Amino acid sequence: MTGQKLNAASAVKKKMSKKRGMLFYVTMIAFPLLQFVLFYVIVNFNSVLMAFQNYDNSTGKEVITFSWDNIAYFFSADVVVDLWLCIKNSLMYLALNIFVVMPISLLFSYYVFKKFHMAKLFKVIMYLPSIVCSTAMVIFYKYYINDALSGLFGGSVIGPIFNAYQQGVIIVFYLLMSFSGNILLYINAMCQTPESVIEAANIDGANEGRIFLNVVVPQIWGTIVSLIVIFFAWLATNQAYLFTFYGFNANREYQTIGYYLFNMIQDGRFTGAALEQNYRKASALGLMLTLIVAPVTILVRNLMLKYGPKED
Amino acid sequence: MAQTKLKNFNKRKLSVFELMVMVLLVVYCLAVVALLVWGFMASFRTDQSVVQRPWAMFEDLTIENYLEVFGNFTTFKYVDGGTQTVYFEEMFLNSLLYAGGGALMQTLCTAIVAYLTAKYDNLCSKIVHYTVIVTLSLPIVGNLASMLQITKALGLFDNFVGSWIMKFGFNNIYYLIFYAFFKKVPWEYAESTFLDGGNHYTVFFRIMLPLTMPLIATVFLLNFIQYWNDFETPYMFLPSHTTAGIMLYMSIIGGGGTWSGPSPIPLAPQLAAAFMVFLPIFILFLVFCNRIMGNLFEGGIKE
Repeated sequence: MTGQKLNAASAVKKKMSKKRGMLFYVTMIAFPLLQFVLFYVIVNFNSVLMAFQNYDNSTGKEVITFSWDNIAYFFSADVVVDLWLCIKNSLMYLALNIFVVMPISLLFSYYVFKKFHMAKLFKVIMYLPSIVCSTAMVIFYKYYINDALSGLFGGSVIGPIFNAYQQGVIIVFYLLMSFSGNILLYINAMCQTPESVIEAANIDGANEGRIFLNVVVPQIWGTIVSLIVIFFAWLATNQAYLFTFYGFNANREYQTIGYYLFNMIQDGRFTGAALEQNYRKASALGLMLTLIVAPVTILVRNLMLKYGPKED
Repeated sequence: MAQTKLKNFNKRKLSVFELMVMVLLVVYCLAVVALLVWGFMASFRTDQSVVQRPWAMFEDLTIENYLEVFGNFTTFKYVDGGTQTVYFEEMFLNSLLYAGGGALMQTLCTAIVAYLTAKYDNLCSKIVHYTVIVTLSLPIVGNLASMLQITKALGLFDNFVGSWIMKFGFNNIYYLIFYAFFKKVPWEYAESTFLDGGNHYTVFFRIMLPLTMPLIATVFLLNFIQYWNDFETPYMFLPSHTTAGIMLYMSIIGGGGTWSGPSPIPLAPQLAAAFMVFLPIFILFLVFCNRIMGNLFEGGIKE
């Protein structure tokens, strides 16, 4: 009888605890969920709606109609030429990320991971560009190129007027800032490699290059795939620091899709109804880009995981 | 000690691979250091001296440029129908409010949601967890205009509380790190707290949060650095609260009344301003170097 009572009491306690657990759960998750609904679900849903909206306040009243005009705008001859330039530049930065930044960052990370000579010092210096504000870095770089190294280029290079050196100088800056970006991620991933695997490769007489390529890279393949996926996702958002260098006045020869898109929203030359319509055009371009970039990103991820090197 | 290190250095043979990477690293690190050191030294010199003899780094040193930052880097804001001058100190404070508040909000929200999904096995947790994974791998482009519209509609535009609420989200990469951490923490801690008369709030606030503090501190620092350096978001969403980052940006593109001294903005005070914006982050970096550059996946609870 007493045992039964105890069981019943414990069941009631458990129930109470579950109920209280639920109360705790609901009170703690409610606000984050509300924030997510507002700033992810509703924002993106509204963005899709905006892509098809036309804004008009010429009669003094806000009138919103729905059409395909914003989508069609990006297929008009003038805009297509500009967009094509942007796409070419964005693809160039994607190629730089995958074929230059990533391999070199991996090599740097491996050097630090293996604790080769002065690895600690290199690690700290390499990380510096990641913590310096890009605006501050642009200022240092601009004066360094235009004043300290001007002799090499024969005068000021970074400025509002297009010149042949300028894009090269911007690319160098992009590389300078990018190498450090993911180094910690690579090093952390490399640290998960079992020491025994590396020792076994050493015993088999593999040199550092082979260990790097045949042991470490397959071990961190998941991280590499994730970052390549991020690079593809950046394709449509990467501004390549153009906004920091030039504001909304970057020469069209340098512009990327990310810059073009951001510029449509922040361009100070547009106000009132024109700006409102620009918001809608930017949403339309964003929607089209999402429809292209999202499946490509998922496809790249799946292909790389399927056909990439395996740990074993 | 140093001698032993030097001996070891000489003893160990450099492989070709190591040497090649080392050369690349030296070139890269020299480029970074040269840029920062040249900029730092130039920020203490007169404009004329820097332009005429850029590499005479110790010539005509002066502190004047740093004083000019406080006096001449100004903008204005609208207050009660009129305008009020905003000095560098206020911009600095704005940066601190934006970065500190935003980083705290995002770190706490991420930790809370990760704890709930890791420790409370129910349908909601599963949905939230998979939603984060999907949203992290699904690139959505061009929703900035919509974000502006929604924040304006909700009255969150152009105020700090609004910017903090915008940051109070959990769909970020740190969610996965917190989630992995909480998954490793044994639930026995909670059960013994319940036996001692504690409830779910006690478990979270008295047991779990203190256990997570090192990770929370690291994520907070990383978020803080990111938001301190971010000038685009406050530029779009906090137009009346110029941050130090925005001030630097405006000085680069030469717009918007951020310099009240003789035009155009001289080189050396601009460099000085850039270093003053970098300084807090650099100090944080020096103090918490190991934490910032450490492995986020380390430091879990041993079962």
